[in-house]
Amino acid sequence: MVEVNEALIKKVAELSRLELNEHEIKAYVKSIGDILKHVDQLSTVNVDGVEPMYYGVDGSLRLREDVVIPFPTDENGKPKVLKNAPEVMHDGFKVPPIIG
Amino acid sequence: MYKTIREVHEAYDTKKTTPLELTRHYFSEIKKSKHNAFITICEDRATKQAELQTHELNTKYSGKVPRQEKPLFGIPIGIKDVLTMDGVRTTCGSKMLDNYIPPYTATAVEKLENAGAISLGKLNMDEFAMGSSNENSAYGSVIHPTHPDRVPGGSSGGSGTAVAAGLCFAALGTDTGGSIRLPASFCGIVGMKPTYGRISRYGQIAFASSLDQIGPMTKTVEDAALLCQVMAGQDAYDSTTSDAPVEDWQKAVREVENTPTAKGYKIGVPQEYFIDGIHPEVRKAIENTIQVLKSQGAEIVPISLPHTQYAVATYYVIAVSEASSNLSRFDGVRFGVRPPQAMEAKNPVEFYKKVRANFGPEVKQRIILGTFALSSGYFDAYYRRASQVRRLMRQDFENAFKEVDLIVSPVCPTTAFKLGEKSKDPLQMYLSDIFTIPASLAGLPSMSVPVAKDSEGLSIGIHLIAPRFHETVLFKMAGIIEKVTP
Repeated sequence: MVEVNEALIKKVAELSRLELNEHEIKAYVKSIGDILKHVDQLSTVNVDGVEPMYYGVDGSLRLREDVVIPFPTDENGKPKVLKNAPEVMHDGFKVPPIIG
Repeated sequence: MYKTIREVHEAYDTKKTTPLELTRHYFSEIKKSKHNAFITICEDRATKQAELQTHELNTKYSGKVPRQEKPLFGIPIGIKDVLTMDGVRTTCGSKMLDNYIPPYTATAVEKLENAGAISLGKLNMDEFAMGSSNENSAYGSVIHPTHPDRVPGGSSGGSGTAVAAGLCFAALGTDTGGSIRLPASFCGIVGMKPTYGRISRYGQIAFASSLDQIGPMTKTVEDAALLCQVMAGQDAYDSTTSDAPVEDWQKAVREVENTPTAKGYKIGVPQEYFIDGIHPEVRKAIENTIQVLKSQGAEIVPISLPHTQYAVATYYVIAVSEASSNLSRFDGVRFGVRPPQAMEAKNPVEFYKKVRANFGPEVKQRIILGTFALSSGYFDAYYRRASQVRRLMRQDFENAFKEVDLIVSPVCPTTAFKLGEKSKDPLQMYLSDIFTIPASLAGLPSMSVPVAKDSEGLSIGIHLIAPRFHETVLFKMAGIIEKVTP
């Protein structure tokens, strides 16, 4: 059984790219601790030799032809997908500089 | 008001009303309503469509509804805000997508609209479909249709309330662990989750991809059957969709409703679903219904689903693990809200953190849990083990279905609880889904049908579960129950 403490929550929040304040960290230590305590009962189930069920469907998924389907464009011929971009530059997604 | 889609079509044929008049009626009801069921309404879009249909009914179709070509002609519906519609804001109940205008339409919505349905707007829901009470929406809680101090159930709470309160004729919900069936039970309507793979998930913003399914929420079993058969089928845009034949389920329901008999059906009653925690009135209502089915000729068979007690634990590990992966796409680069402070970030990690501050507390909790369950050192003990128990739960059902055609249980241990009653205790909230989760994990078609009300007038639904791709038997039994219960 894992001990849920502030260090664990902080570490996993970092992996999740989430910023938590002190209040949130304390709240999650309690609630995630409670949930994982409930989850710990799974350790009592005999799962020897049981194949994990990771998917909702059986067998392999079918393949389709590799064909190009043009993405929808607006009345000006611009890709509609760019309409939701927080910032656009030269028909691309603009992000802050990431190389210092 | 009209009870079934068939009745609406008869009213159109006899000129008692028109698609435009009915659409206007619903917008007037939506504007008067205090339920907070809709996040976005599409009044112009819907009205234009209704005007066109009203015109075409009199011209192109010579006054007669084209039932074969457009089985949902002129039927005003609501769409859970987890499903995309081209050009219509889709928030998924989250501030993260407050400004998101999808460039494409979900296959399920497209099929309904091609069949003539008129989309009135986007229905409120728990943020990213994570919740059992609809109290996790960034756009405020949805109010129960008849009891203002109660929750409508979640996560498709807007859909449940909107149908029950007469704000739309029918609605789409989505169900990952009970998100259609629970609000249907609490709101007193029919809610159906098809077999995993029946209906394309293309355009459904993903929560847990191995569990998510779209389904109808309606006033009657017959209408649920009709919506389901319109939406079902293989889709090139969702490789998990099945080519299993789609039957005329509406016809099957009408046949049993004309001659309701449960003779020849073997109905399984799992002992593990009648636990101490069930509210006595819920237990009584379900037991009464089982007795009615017995008196209608059904054979009642006690069965065991031995891994039921592990359902909630199994589900929460799997669902949050998949969610933590699915929700990594909300990075503020291509879509969604990018707060101004993100632009001042010194590096990508800081940028993502500023953007992802838009998630609400329950969503953050599930991302953290899922990231933990998938992380190095914990994967085997949590995600892998839960996936093994999931297989055992599915085998429980396969064994049971060697003996019986269908399984019945309560939908939820309680009726609609009070706003705020469980929102501070996530585990108690998660336990609301204890009876709906197993069918989700096993990918089985299942359904909530209203059968009674408790002493406070709150609805109680019975839960039906059928083998994979056996929607026909599910709809038939639901039709029988609807007919033979008061």
